Amino acid sequence: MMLMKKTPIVINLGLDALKDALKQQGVECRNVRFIPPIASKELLQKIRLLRSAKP
Amino acid sequence: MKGVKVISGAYYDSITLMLVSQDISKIPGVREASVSLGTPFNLHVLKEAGFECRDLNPGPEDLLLALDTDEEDWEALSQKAIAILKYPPKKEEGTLEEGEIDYSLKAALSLSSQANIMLVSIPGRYAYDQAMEALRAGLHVMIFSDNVTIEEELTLKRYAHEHQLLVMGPDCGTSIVRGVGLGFANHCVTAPVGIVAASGTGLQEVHVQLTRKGVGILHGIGTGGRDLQKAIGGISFLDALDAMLQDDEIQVIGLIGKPPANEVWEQIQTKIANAKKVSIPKEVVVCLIGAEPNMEAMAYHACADFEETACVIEALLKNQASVEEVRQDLHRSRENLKDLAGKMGKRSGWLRGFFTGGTLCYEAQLKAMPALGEVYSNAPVDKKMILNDPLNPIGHALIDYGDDIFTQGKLHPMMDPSLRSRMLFQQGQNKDTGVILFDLVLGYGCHPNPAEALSDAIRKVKKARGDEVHIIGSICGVEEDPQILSKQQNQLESAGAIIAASNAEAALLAAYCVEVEQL
Repeated sequence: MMLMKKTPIVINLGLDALKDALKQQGVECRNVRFIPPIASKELLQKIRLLRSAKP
Repeated sequence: MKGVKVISGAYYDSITLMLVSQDISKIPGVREASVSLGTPFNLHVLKEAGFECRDLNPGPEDLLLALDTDEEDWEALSQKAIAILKYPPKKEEGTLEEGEIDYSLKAALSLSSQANIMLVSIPGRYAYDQAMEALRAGLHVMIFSDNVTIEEELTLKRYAHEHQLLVMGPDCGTSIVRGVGLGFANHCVTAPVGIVAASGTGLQEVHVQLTRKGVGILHGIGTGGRDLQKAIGGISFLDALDAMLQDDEIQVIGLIGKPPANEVWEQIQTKIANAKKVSIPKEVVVCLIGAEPNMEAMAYHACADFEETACVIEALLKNQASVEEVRQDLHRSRENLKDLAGKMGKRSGWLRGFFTGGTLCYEAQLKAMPALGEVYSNAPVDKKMILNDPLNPIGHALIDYGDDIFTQGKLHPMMDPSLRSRMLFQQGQNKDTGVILFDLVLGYGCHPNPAEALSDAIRKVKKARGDEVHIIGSICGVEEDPQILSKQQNQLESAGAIIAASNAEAALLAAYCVEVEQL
């Protein structure tokens, strides 16, 4: 599996503490700021169904 | 007055909630403050701490603002607190360089096209969509988040398997890839050892024990605790095991977890046996924590706990002592713990444990039960011994403060040690408590000085009760961790704690110190 043959280059979505932990180890990391959706749970599920139905 | 106000429709991540609580605590006139998600358990925590919570009915999207002030000042100070909430403090962005924050995965990938892993640590109810987007973009995914449904986990892992990708998690606290720690992880030196673990702190304990022996690991693939259950079928575990068996950089493989579903265990054994048949020259060490090790197994070496697992891996790698010799050495050193307990003096009262690592709590129960009989927990080995209210334990009880119930909208206790330390102090003062047991986990991602809050609590217990109570713990960490093992150990020992060499030994010593006959 290629995961184990390559030094991790990480995209961090969420806690800054985990991104800081990667930086302390000198790991290349980009940080994505998470903005929670304001949609209801039902709407989120509909969006999910639509995405999975895409060709 | 200890009052609580419900604030509707506000979303903040756990770090922001912690920073807001700290800022509100500094308002003159506020003795104590906390801001937490409006979950039933968080409400219970506040009630137990003496806050007035009658007639409150918060929803999961609400916040609980709890303040301890003089009664006449309460309303005015709560308005000041709400003003801070409207403009919450930001964590110092000093560690982020300009241009390193992106607002979508697509944007991040356009700037880092070589990225191969996405690390997801957002509230569980949002994690599936983000993880699937990452898999579709060809990334492996580590899901630190908990509260992801089992159906979502299965969908993600099936997709990953079909596309030669790996999902580590959900609820995966630790992974190591080519010596790089993801999530909570200790400083890593590399060695031709690969571990597949359905247990975060189990992986950390084995890794730490190996590092202290001068061995390290190359990979430690966390799969999340549910992966070995029938519903998930070991998808990630089996894929990771395959990869280790094929990897010519790996000489010894460790497999760690609680006992898998029968079907999954059959598949694991088949893979190991097939590898032997085609002469893949790798040794396999298996630690199914809670299962009686099958000492008759020919294809692998079975171990009962994490320290033993590390000892056997070391023996197989270095080839200086036989596996049997190291097992005997370990057994002898553990027998010596009984003598040590005798010299320390047994204590009447309950054993109470305060853990941040779920599998460490589980292993400790297994070590304590032969001497003590029934041991309660919020994550019990014996399902009959479930503690319905972990804030008010009964009998011998070991509590996992990293359990989901404690971490909804709150930071994991490895990041925020305050609740665990407070509970240790509270219960340590109780004359029914005879022995206290704890773990302390170090490493990247963890609190920078977790021993400080714990030492403070231990010191106060010792001041109140002196030698009536033994306080015993272990540290899952190494000298090269950011917190520096020796500095953490010095703080704890100066406060009056006894530090054992491993979690297993701490639990054994604690159990031997309990005066069983007097209960």
